[in-house]
Order: sequence, then structure tokens, then C-alpha cells
Amino acid sequence: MSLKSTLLGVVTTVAALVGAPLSAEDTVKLGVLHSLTGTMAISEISCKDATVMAIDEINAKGGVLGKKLEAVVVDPASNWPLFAEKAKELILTHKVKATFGCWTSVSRKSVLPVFEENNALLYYPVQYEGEEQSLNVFYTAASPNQQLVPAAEYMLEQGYKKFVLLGTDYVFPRTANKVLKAFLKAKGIPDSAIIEEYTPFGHKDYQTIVAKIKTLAQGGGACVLSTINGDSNVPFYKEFANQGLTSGECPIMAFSVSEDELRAMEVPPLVGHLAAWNYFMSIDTSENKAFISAFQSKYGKDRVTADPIEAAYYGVYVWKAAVEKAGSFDVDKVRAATYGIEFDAPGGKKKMDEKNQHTYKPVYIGEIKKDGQFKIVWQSKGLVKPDSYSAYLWPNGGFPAPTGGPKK
Amino acid sequence: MGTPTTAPESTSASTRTAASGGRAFGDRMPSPLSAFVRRLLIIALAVIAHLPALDLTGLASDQRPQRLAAIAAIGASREPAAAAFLEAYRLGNAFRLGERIVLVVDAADPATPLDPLSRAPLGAPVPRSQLVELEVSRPEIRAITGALTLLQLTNPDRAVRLPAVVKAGDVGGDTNRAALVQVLAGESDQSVAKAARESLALIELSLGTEAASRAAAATLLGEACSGRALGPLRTRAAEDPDPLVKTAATAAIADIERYQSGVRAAQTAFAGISAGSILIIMALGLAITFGLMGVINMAHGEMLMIGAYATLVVQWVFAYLPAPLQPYYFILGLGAGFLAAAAVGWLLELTIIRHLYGRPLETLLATWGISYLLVQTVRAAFGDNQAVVAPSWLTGGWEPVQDLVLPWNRLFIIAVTITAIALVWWVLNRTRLGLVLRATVQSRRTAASLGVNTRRIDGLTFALGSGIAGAGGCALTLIGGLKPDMGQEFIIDSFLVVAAGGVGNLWGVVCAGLGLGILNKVLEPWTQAVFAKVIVLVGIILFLQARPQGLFPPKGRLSDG
Amino acid sequence: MAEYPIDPRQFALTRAIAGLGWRGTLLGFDRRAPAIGAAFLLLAIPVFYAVGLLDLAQVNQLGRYCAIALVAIGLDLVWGYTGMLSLCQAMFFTLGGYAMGMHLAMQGPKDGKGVPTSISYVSSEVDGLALPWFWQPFAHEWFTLVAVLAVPAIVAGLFGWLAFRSRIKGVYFSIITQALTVALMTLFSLNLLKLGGTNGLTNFTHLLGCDIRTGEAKLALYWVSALALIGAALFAWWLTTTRFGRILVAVRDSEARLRFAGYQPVIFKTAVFTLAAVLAGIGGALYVPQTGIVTPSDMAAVPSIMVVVWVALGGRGTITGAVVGALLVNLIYALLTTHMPKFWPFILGAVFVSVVLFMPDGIVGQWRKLIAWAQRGKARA
Repeated sequence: MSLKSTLLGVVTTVAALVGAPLSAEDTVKLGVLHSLTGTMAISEISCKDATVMAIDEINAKGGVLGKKLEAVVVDPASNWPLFAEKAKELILTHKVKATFGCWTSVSRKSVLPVFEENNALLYYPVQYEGEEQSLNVFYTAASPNQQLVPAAEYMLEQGYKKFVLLGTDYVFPRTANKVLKAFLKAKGIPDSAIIEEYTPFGHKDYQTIVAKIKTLAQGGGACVLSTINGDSNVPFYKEFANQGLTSGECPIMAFSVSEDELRAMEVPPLVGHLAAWNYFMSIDTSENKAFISAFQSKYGKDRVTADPIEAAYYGVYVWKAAVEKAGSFDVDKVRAATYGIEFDAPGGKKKMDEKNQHTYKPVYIGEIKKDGQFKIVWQSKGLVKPDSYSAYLWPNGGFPAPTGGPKK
Repeated sequence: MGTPTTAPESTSASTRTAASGGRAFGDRMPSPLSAFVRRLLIIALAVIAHLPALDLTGLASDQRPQRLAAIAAIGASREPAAAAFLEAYRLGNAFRLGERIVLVVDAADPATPLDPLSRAPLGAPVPRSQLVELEVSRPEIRAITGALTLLQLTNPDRAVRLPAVVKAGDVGGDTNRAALVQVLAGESDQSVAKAARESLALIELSLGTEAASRAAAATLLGEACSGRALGPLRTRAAEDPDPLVKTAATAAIADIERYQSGVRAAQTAFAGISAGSILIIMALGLAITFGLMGVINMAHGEMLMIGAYATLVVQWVFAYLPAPLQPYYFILGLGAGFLAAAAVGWLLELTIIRHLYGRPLETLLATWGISYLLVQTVRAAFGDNQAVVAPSWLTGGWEPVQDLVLPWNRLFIIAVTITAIALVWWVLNRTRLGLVLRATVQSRRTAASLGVNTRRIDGLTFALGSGIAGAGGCALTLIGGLKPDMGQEFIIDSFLVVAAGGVGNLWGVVCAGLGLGILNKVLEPWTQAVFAKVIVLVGIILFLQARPQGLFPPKGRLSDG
Repeated sequence: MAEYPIDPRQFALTRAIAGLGWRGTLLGFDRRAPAIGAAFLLLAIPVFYAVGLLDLAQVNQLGRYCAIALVAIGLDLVWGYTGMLSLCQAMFFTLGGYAMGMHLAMQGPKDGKGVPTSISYVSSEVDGLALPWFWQPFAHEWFTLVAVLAVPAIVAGLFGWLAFRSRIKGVYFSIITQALTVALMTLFSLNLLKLGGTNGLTNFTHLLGCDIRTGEAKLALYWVSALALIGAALFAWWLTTTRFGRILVAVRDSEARLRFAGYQPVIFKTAVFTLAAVLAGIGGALYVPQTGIVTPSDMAAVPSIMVVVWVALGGRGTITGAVVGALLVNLIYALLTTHMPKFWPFILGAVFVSVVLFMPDGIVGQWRKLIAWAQRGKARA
């Protein structure tokens, strides 16, 4: 009689597995794959919010090709294998037409094979280390030459001659510093004037490292290029200020500190430090103001917009524009239509590259102000063309062919 | 594919004029451009120096060299009110209104133009469209910083004057030398005078034409143990044409380095004690709930988190109080952190843990579930990205000797830790509660038969342990961030400290925490932070092999493990 | 059949069943029902796939859970039967996973110098990286197989022998194992180690000459995992019925008496700890090709605690419980994170707490008690 219990179990399990609601004919599903719990929630929730807002806006204006969009929001819970599992589920079970998500490099690497295997599309909204070009990903944020190199060049022009490359020990800082070192050497900065330091994830005690920076900063001419990630920034900047260093003596140029991160920090001691991004909330255009007020009225007055939030937001519009241009939701047609497409983003007009999946973006350098906003102190002339592979690491060209793409 | 030259081209095109130099390094490695600008400044100074009133019209020029010259002229004017104007200019509050330069400090439209120096209103408000903001880019900011330094050299406030004196020496140049000589002549404050002599020697080292005066400057810098002179001295020791200067510089470098290695040792010791105090404050609550009561509370980290968020709430409440009271919110935050975590702990004991005594592993599972609930509740209630702002009296540091800065926040945490240890020791050993508590831990039945309400004692003990953790969480906001799952980062270290110290022993926790903190900080400069962490963990594992029950093995009921 | 003491106050479920008069219904079931049901279900999954009830993503997902459940069986032997709460089982799992991952990476795409892309990509050498020596042998299948079994076994054997010899027991053992896994995670996260840093290893394409990205390969991997799980469960169950198994229980219940009786608990403890590590290593090796990535974060403290949670929820000391707990918690977790992305921690947390309070023997333990209670009622009637 154990068969009876077995059958009962089978039926309930299958019911649970198949329990995903069946979609109606006139909607099209889009996956949203950002961590809502766990260590990355602090950064990724805002991206999820921006993506969902874009989808709601498009629906309010009648959808895409006459179809309403349905956001399938899942929580990969800052768990890398779970990212891959959720990606499979979104593509195969929910049959989403495109997915918007991922923050950390490892989460993108985790889902990449899934998107390539199934020839699906991922829109990735965070600046990253480059050295990658998958035909199944559109990178809506900066590649290294759109953030790192202009920032280092700016510091050189300001007359800084001693560089501390400080990062969390993972791939973005490692590759970023590889690019930065190659660039600085090409500009004649000797090895002795470059310090490279890494700390583990979640590192909280920066006493030793700040003391080291302080020694280097004596006599002036030193700056920090920081790829410190996430919540380690809070103790780092606190220690920096408390040991008596200011932006006047030794500015920190950060590549991972945006308006959203500043909310979690004590801003007054940070005034004058720098950050390089492709969007700042303080960009003074009516489109940006409209975007900010829409975001704040939807999610709360205390919320801010930032570079990855903008990229997560317009990623949906890039997809929409390409679908409309292609007249189809088919992945291969959408991909072909995306190349070279121009579009309006909150921060101004942008353009997708003709060949390499990345985005033409302006580069801004901002100085932290007392109110947690950035004052733009430098901006590139026009849009900067994205590199998928850094020319500083591949001086002779010949970098690998793109991966993924249509099924053979 | 990607052409790499795009970004560099666009970068240099827009800021070519920025490459002017004029900082400390400009003196050692003069580029043709910065030399040109400096010459320009000197000419401008010479022209403007004899003018009686402050002429700001140059600031309105659309030529950057003229603007920079005008800023330099303000610096040379020694006009005290000019410093405030330059600060406002730097913040983007200076505008051109017709032909005049005005200040506008409010955001209103139409805005009230103010006199740049006296800040008296200049007539009726004007619409914003008539105001043209004066450009403040990096070159202007650097010129402003230089001019401000000059102005601040004569500031009556020592706290302003001292950094300016240091900065003037770092930047160097004839203008600063002349200004420093004047400062030194009239200076009564010992430390400012010392810094001024150091700065002058520094300038003399690079600009001095006589070998003897350069050598004297090097010797003076060596005697002053001046860390900032190391770079210039090394250059002299290697490149100076005169052997006398080379010898003096080499000797001075040796002196300075000896002093600095002493400072580094002191800094490492302090860093270790500070890291240790943080480990202790994290683990102290656990030493009570786990060490004394034997409850494996996986939600202990969340008690720290609750304390931290209670501090945030106190900070919000204090924002409504008069400004002078606000910086003291932190004292109340400590108490609020203690009470909030103690309340949650007490509730937890009452509803769940009480039913699980004697079943430590079930407790583990249940408290693990509770930690999920607490984290997500806080995330839902507060959202991510909140900041506790350290009060003004806990920012910055104390410099007991030259170059050794002990941050106030870390000193404060050490004080809180010592107080907490003392409090726990006093409660356990000097109060009736402590007596009854120890009795209950040693023999629950005997204590109960003697009329002790052991259930009540359990609840109080658990609340005390949780409360200590909550106060610790409040203190930890001074060095780290605030996020709902911050507790997860502390729980493992806390358990390790308690285990290494010996379960149930207060002094074990103190010794283990301090030992681990110091070990970590001693290792870090040699091995980098990433390896130090691994080495410490392996060290603990090996230590526990040798002493399986920690530094101070427990006796009695708990010793059977 | 063993007589289970019943405390009616503790079991609301028992009361409910009695109140509804369903006690008789229970007699239709066997106490082994969960085990047979689970095995049957696992074997039926490919059928569901064939008839279109499940899609490939779901089969793949279940295949991964089968691999994970091997860890739970190992922990049940170590904790449920021997009474040692190890908090580093996920570390052995990850070690096995890395061994397999290195092999897969060697079979996958490489850069110009023959270095797998997942490690050349994260290196910070400007001039690129030469293939480290310890990577070379992983090009061979036989070496990989040995490494999958031997690496966890050696780590567990060495660490276990040292720890048990020093008589590290109880919570000390738990804490020290936790320190071990965190130390190893930190070490594996280092880019210097040339194991891919925090990004771990990825870009897997082929195993034993087959393209693992195809549907057939996924189904085959499911079969291997499901059969490995059933095999391991049967082996573990057999082990507990042997003399060795009884000694393990003796270690749990009174190690001192066992020692006085002339046994060497160290040997048995080390042996069972090593066995559990090997099971975990096999699980990891099966998990990685189905997941497509292995990272050091699997060695953090939390995954190992989750293994404990599965076993506790399923019922410790019952091999079936470990399997049921692992499959069930992972399924619930997957369903909740998809369908309730914001509220799942509340539900999962509440489940943990309620299981402890209302079902202290876990699901399978509770089931067995229910059956025993029903049968006793019948005997009385």
C-alpha cells in the first residue's frame, strides 16, 4: 500500500513544480534577475526597481508590438549557483524574451553559459572589467575604457604622480588594476610610484592600509584609485578621514561608489573625493529630472538614482527599441536590430555599438558634495566608444572571437 | 573592434588647460607648462601687489590664465575677509552680475546678490538668469587652495593656521617661503613655529642655492623627524651635486626612518588592540548566552544588528532636538541598542529557546530560522542603504606624538569594551543576580530547590547577553556600515573568540579577542590582509588542537561538552 | 520495531489526526513510505520529462538536488548516527566540485597559451598566465576521479584524526570545522592561488567527450545523480545495520564507555568523517557539471549550516530523512525565491522554527512515530 502514499507525493510535487502560472496570449514575459536578499541586496534592489519601473512605464504606454509586458521578478539571493538555476528557469520554464539582471562579475559568469546554451538575451547594467564579449549579453554599463582610463588620465592631468591601486580581491579590481597599471606605465609612471593592495570581501579593518597610504601621501602628489567593493567602502572612508587624510591631500577616485552607496555613508568627511561614472543624478537636463521624479514618486523621496540604476532602466528601452525595429521578439532578430541603435536615456542620448554588444556612453568625473550628490567636474566630449577587450591588454589586437550567439 | 584612442583623445581635449601643475611635485619635477604658469603668477603678483583695494574683476575673465592670476592676487592680498570669499567661490557660490562679482548663497529665484567680501546685500533680488556662475574647475580649485593657504597662514585660529603652514611647505615656492618667514617671525605658538621651521627647511632643501644651507635644512628636517621630508631628502641624497648635502640628507633619512618605524610599531600595537576590542565587544554577549548558558544562538549576529538599527532610530529622533544636543545622540544610542537587543533576546528566550534547553542543536536550527526572520523584518522596515552618522566628537583623531594618529572612534570603542567587560564582571560577581545566575548554571536543580526562579534567571541572563551584543552593535556603527545582514559577518568570529577563549570564561574571551586582534594586525603588513585572515583561522584551528577546550577550559557541568 | 515514546502535548499533528478519526488510515502506510516514495519519485522524473510534465530546467534542477543530497547522507552518518555536528560538509562538497571543475575547465575553451579561460581571465599578470603545474594532471579523467575521492578524503582524514585525537568534541568540533571551511574559502578566494578567485571555475563544455550542454547529457547526468543518491542511501542504510554502524551509535551515546570497553573511538570517528567527506566530494563532482560553475562561496559558513538544516528537518538518524530534507528544503527554497522573492525568508525562517518546536524528530522521524502510534493503537484494539 505504500504506492498510495507515493502517488500522493508525486502528484503534489509535480503540481508544485508545474505551478508556474500559465501566461495569457497577449503578454510577453521579461525576466528580472537581481538579488533581493543576501549580501548583494543592498545594491541590486535598486536595479530591480529601475527595471520594473521601465516595464511599468512601457505598459502604461501600450506595451511593445501591441503586447503587454510581464515582469517575472525572482530572487537569486546573492547565491551564485542559484543565479544559474533561476536563469534556466526564466528561459525554459517561464520562456522570457529577455532577462535584465546580475551585478557581480561572478553572477554574470554563472549565468553566461545558460544564456549561450539557450540563445537567450541578458541585459547587464553594471560597469565591469571587460575582457568578455558574448553575443547573448548586452552590456548597458561601462567597459574599462569608458571609466577607468579616463579617470586615471584625469588624475595624471591634475598632476598626481603616486598612485595607490586599492581593491577588493576579485576579478573586477584585478582586471581594472591590470588595465590601470598598463596605462600608467605607458604614461611614464614608474613601478615604484604605484602601490597595489587587495583586501578580502567584507573587509572591515583598514587601519594598516590607511597608515600605508598616509606614509605615501606625505609630501603630496598621491591619489587612490579605488575599486573597493560594497560595504567595505564604509570602513575604508571612515578610517581614511579619522586618520586625518582629506581629499585635498590625497583624493580617492572611486569606481564603485555612486549616489546609492553614499546613502549608506557618512558624507561630510568625503567631500571632495571623486568618482568616475557615465551618469550622475546631478546631470542637469529635463529628461533626467523627469526620470528622478518618476523614480522617487514610485519608490520614495529618499531614494536616489545612480549609474547602474540608469543603465538598468534604459536597458529595457534598448530592448523595446530593438524589438520594434525588428518587428519581432525573436532573439536573433532583436540582436541584429540592436547593433548601432540610438536611444534616449535619462542622462542623454546614447548608442549601442555596431559590433561589440556594449554601449557608447559619455564619461563623467564627479566630486562628492555635502548632500551626497556629485558635482560634475569633467566630462568627455561626446560619447566614448566602448572596448570589449582593453587595448592596453591586447596591444596587438587579435582578441578572442565573441562567444555564444545563434544556435548552429 | 574598439579603438582604444577614443577616450584618451576626448579626455585630453577638454582639459588640456588643466595641466598646469603648481603643487608640491611641480617644484621637484617642473614641467614647462607649470613653470610658465608660475612665472605668470609672479608677474601678476608683482603688478597687483601695490594696488590698495582687492580687485576681483579678473575673475570674470573668460581667459583661464587671467582668472588664475586673479585668484593668486587675492591670496597675496592678505585680506582676511578674502578667505571666506574664496571658500564660497570654491563651492560655486560666486557669480558675475553685469560687471561685478557677487556672492549668492541661497537657492531662491530671484536671488539676493551679496557683496563678495562684506556679504552685505547689494540691492534688490535679481532673477537667476542674469547671474553667470564663475567657472570652478580643478585648475581654479587648485589655485584657490594655494591662495587660501597663503591667507590662512595669518589666520588667528591655530587650528586653521597649522595645516596651512604645513601645506605651504609641501607646495613650496618663493611666495610661500616669504610668507612663512613672516609667519615664523610673529609666531607665538610652539607647534606652529615648529611646523613653520620644518616647512621653511623643506623649501630651502629644494630652492636653496648654497650647499651649506641645503645641508643645514636636511639636518634640521632629520632632527624634526619630518615624515613629509622623506621624499625630497631621498631626491637630495641621490641627486644633489654637493657631497656635503648628500651626507646630511642620508643621515637625516636614517633619523626619520628610525622614528617612523617606532611610530609604525605603536600604530600596529594600537590597531591590534582596537581590532581586539572589536572582537571582544562582538563576542562578549555570546560569552554569556553561549558560554554560560550553553545556548547556540545563531541569531546572535542579529542582536548586534538590532543594536545598530536602534542607534539609527535614536539618531532620527535626535534630529528633532535642538542642534547642540544632537551630537550626544550616540550615548543614548548605546543604551537604546542595549535595551532593544535585550528586549528581543528576552522575547526570544521566552517564546522559543526556553523550550529547547538541553537540546543545543535544535536551538541552532531554530535560531537560524529566527535570524532569517529578523534580517528580513529589518530589511522590510528600514530598507537598505542607511547610514549612522558618527557624532562630531567621535570624528578625527588624537595625535599624542607627531605622526601617530589614534582615531577617536576606535578609542571610544576601546572604552566601551572596557566598560562592558567591567559591567559584566560586576554583574556576575558582585550582584545577587550574578550569584543566582552562577548557581543556576552550576546546578539548575539545586538552585531551584533553594527557591531560585530559574526560568526567570534564564530569561534575564539571555536578555543581558543579547543587550551587551546590542550595545556592541551600536559601537560597531562607528567603524562599519549598517545593513540588515551585517550580523552574519560577525557571528563566525564571535564563536571563534568564545571557543578559543574557553567556553564560560570572561577572561578567556578578553585574552582570545585581544590575542587574535593583535596577531591579525602584526601579520597584515607582512602578508597583506587576505593572507592574514587565513593564517589567523589556521592558527585558531591548530591552537584548539593543542588546547581543545580553549585558553581557560571550563569546569563543572559544561566540561563534559 | 522499536517502540517510540509519545508525548501528545508535543505533537499537534498527532492530536489532529486522532481527532479527525484518521488514525486507521495511517495503518495503510508503511514506516518506510517516505524512503520508497522518494526513490520512486526520483526514478519517475525522467518519465515526467518524457511526457512533457517537466521541462529540462526542472530535471536539471532535481539532478543537482540529488547531488546535494549526497552531502546530507554523509552528515547524517556523522551527526545523526555518530553525534558529531560537522559544520564543514559543504567544504568537502566544494573540494570534489573543484576537482571536477578543473577537469571540465581543462576540457573547455582555453586561451592562446592553453590556459582555461576561467583562470586566465581573472589573473592580474599583464603578460598573461602560464598553466600552473597542479592544473596539468586534471586533463586526465582517471586523475580527476582519484582527486574527487582522494582530496576530500585526505583533508577529512587528516583533520579528523588530529581533531579526534585531541578529543575535540561537541560544540568545539562544530566551531573548529566552521573555522576550517571559512579558512579554506578565504584561501580559494585568493587570485594568487590560480583557481579562479571568487569567480571560481566556469565555461564548462565537455565531459568524457560529450557536450554537457545538450539535453541528453543533462538527462544522463540526472540519471547518474539519482542513481548515485539511491545507491549511497542504500549503502549508508546498510552501514548502519552493521557492527560498524552500532559502534557509531555507541560513540554518540557514550563515547567514554566505548573507550572503557576497549575500542578506539578515534578510528571509527575518523573513518565515518572521511566516508562522509567522500560522499560529499562525489556529490560536488556530480553537481558542478550540472550547475556550470563552482565558486569558493560554496565553502562559506552558510551552505554547511544549510546541510545541517536539511538533515534536522528531514529527521536526523534516519538516512531517508537526510535525503527528504535536502530535496524538500531545496525545492521549497527554489519555489519561494521564484514566487515570493520578497517574503521567502519569513516563510523559510518560520518553517525552521516550527519544525524544531512542533516536529522535533524531523519529517521522517515524525512519520515513523505516527505509524508506530497507529500500529500500537491497532494492537490495543
